[in-house]
Amino acid sequence: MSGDKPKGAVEVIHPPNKIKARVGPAGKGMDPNLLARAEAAAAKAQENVDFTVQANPELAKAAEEVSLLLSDRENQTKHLNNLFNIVHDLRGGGGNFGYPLVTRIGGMLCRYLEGRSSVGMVEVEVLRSLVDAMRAVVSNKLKGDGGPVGQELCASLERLVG
Amino acid sequence: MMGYRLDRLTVLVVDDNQHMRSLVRTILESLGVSQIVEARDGAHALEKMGQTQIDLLIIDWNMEPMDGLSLTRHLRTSAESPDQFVPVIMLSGHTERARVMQARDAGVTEFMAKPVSARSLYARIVSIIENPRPFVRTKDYFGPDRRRQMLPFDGPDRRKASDGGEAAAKPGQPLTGAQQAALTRTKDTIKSMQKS
Repeated sequence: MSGDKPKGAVEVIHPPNKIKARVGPAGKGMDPNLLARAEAAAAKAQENVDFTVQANPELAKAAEEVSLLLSDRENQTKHLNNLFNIVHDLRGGGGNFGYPLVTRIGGMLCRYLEGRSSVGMVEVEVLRSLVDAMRAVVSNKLKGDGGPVGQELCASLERLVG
Repeated sequence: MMGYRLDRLTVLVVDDNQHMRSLVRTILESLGVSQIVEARDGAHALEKMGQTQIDLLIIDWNMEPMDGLSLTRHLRTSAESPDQFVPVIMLSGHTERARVMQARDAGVTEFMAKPVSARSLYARIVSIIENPRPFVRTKDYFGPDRRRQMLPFDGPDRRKASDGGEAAAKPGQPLTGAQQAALTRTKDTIKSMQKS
């Protein structure tokens, strides 16, 4: 390992490239055949997962958290965090398992929550619409771009959250 | 052309979602990685690292009790870290610039926004092999040099840090006419979906 002399308060260290040493010097860049194989395997694995099994109970929890924002105002910050975390996870999984609309709407919700530590009735109504929209997408199994209905839903939500 | 011998790597996949772990495992196996260790959260990952020499971590952000950020910070700065220099790829649903910066400041090597794809994961592994970053120690930070920009994705979600956020955070602001119309339209669409 090599370390440059500290310049002011900054020390730069060049650790040995252990990974390179392990995988050998033969490769360069991505191997297109290997990539194609990995993409095919990933697509097959994604098809075998029914995202709705995970999403339905999580969205029910999200809806409950939205309700608690007004009925349990004392703990609103906690409920906002819970809501964010639930939707964040769904947003991550939706795109991978056939429901990019969940990712898109979940992204809107997460962005809407960014920087908000408290909400009033107006915001709760917006949040409820976003959660209801995700529930409608999942219960109608609106995969892919969701067709005209899915697109209409996203367009109106985007106008709503700006 | 002979490629990298990825079969020689031991990769630790840390995610509380079993489907996501399984997907990452499938991609890694297809790329030739044969030694894959799984953990369900940060604390579990540290336990696994105590048992096996890990070459690369692929970690989720949101996990309990120890999330991906805390795990990365522990790896970089704790006296009990099993390997301060181990490469960390953070996989996350977060795409906001501020969040990416937060991951960078915790010491992740590469950031990757979900949805995960074989191409993006492979690209990051190759980048770690071919373009290792020096480590930097300052009063407040220890980890990979942060001067190389981490670009998480190019999708439609991308937004500037100045969009929304704090400026839009005053509670109780009434909706504009256009927003009210959009809310009504949204509710009508959801209602029609529930009927069908």
